[in-house]
Amino acid sequence: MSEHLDRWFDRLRAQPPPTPFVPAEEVRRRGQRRRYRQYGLVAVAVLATTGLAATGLGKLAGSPGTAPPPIAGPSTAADALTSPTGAPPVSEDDISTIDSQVDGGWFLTTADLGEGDWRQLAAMVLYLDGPPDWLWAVACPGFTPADHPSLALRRELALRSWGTGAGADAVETADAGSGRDWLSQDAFIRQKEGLRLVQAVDLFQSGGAHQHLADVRRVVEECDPSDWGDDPVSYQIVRTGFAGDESLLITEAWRDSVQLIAVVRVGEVVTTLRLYDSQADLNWLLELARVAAARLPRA
Amino acid sequence: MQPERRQPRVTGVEDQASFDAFYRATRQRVYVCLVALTRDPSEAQDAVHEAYARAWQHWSRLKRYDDPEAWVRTVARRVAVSRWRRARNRLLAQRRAPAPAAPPEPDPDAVALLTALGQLPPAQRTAIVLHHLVGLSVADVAAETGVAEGTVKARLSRGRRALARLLETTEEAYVRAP
Repeated sequence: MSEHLDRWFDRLRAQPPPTPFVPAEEVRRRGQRRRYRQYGLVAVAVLATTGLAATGLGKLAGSPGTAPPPIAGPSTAADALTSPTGAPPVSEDDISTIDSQVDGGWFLTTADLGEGDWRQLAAMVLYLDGPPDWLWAVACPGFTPADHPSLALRRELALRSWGTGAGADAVETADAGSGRDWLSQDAFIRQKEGLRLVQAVDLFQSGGAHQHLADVRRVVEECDPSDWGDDPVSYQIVRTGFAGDESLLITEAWRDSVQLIAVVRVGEVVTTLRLYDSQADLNWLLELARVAAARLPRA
Repeated sequence: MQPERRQPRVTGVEDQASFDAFYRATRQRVYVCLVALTRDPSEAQDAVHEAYARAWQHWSRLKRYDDPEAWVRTVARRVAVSRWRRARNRLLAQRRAPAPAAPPEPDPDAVALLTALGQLPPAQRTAIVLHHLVGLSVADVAAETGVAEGTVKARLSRGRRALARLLETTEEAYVRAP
């Protein structure tokens, strides 16, 4: 049968593309444009938030009398460095994992978010343009999904997002008409008004959730800021053990802006809360993380 | 603040030459893999171009990999998967529909194979394409798709049986044709 198949596949191997491949120079130009566009997006996000970013890590401790810490846009919209040999799979099976079977009751609710005109966005926000969709896969240029063993153990991923005010409408409008059922992180980053929150819930095979936290720690502890050239991004774990079986509160610092990310594990489930462009305070996010942990199943 | 300072590192002329050579040497193989998976030549070609553009972004590191083609192939598959997800409803409908239009003046055998591949479940199709078309070993297919080797073998076995049935039907049709 294999020989029979080989004959068929030989014919397919000789099939030319519908149009000639573009010259290598054009591919390089396309890559260059893509790179500058991504860095430009980062610049937009930072410009949008720099005016708010006046406090540093010290204020994140939530000391009395200090203003809530400003939250900067994500440090990177850089492309995911996908798998070289031995990388986590990107299979068609991943399509179904995006439409997670994770129970809806595991998520925060709009009411949990407290004051403000929060509303859940109709579509989910993806960090990447395709699986494996994971915040930390793009958090550091020196890391690729292949560097994160837990991704191969992930069974399901589900995402929800919320926004406030006109910003929430604008985010959805930005992606309207795209024909897809998810929002790009780009639109999320670009929006300047209101608060935006993304919650990811990852369900793992046995041992995968603990590994996941270890992967996060490794990014935080080993990411080389110099990978960003002379304009480094740095991460720091500023609080642990505040919720669930394991938990990390991480700051992402770029210049004078700081962003908060909470990662909480309960059993084989990990939830990640990431805020965009907000002035939310540390204690608010910690409380949200505890509520989120309480919703996760122990099994 | 000058956000323009946040620039990527400069890639040298030598990198350009090595990238260009790599692109010319591997693009057809990656394209054929993608077209077998997507059954859409235009979509496949665009995914391939996109993957190589991304490869150029990171070429200073990728060039040190043992097999940068595997990286490009995986990225191209991811790009295609992403597009599949965006058009999921359309694709679900296509499962019951005839194969999409073939490229201009296609080889009938190639079209028949693409049509047959399109009738396989995605996991089987991926295993068959990576093993029989790309030429990866069972172990490499397992590594690239993130499943156990036994799972790959099972998918290959089932996929081959299904393909044989589908292609025999095609051949019989040719024989019967006037």
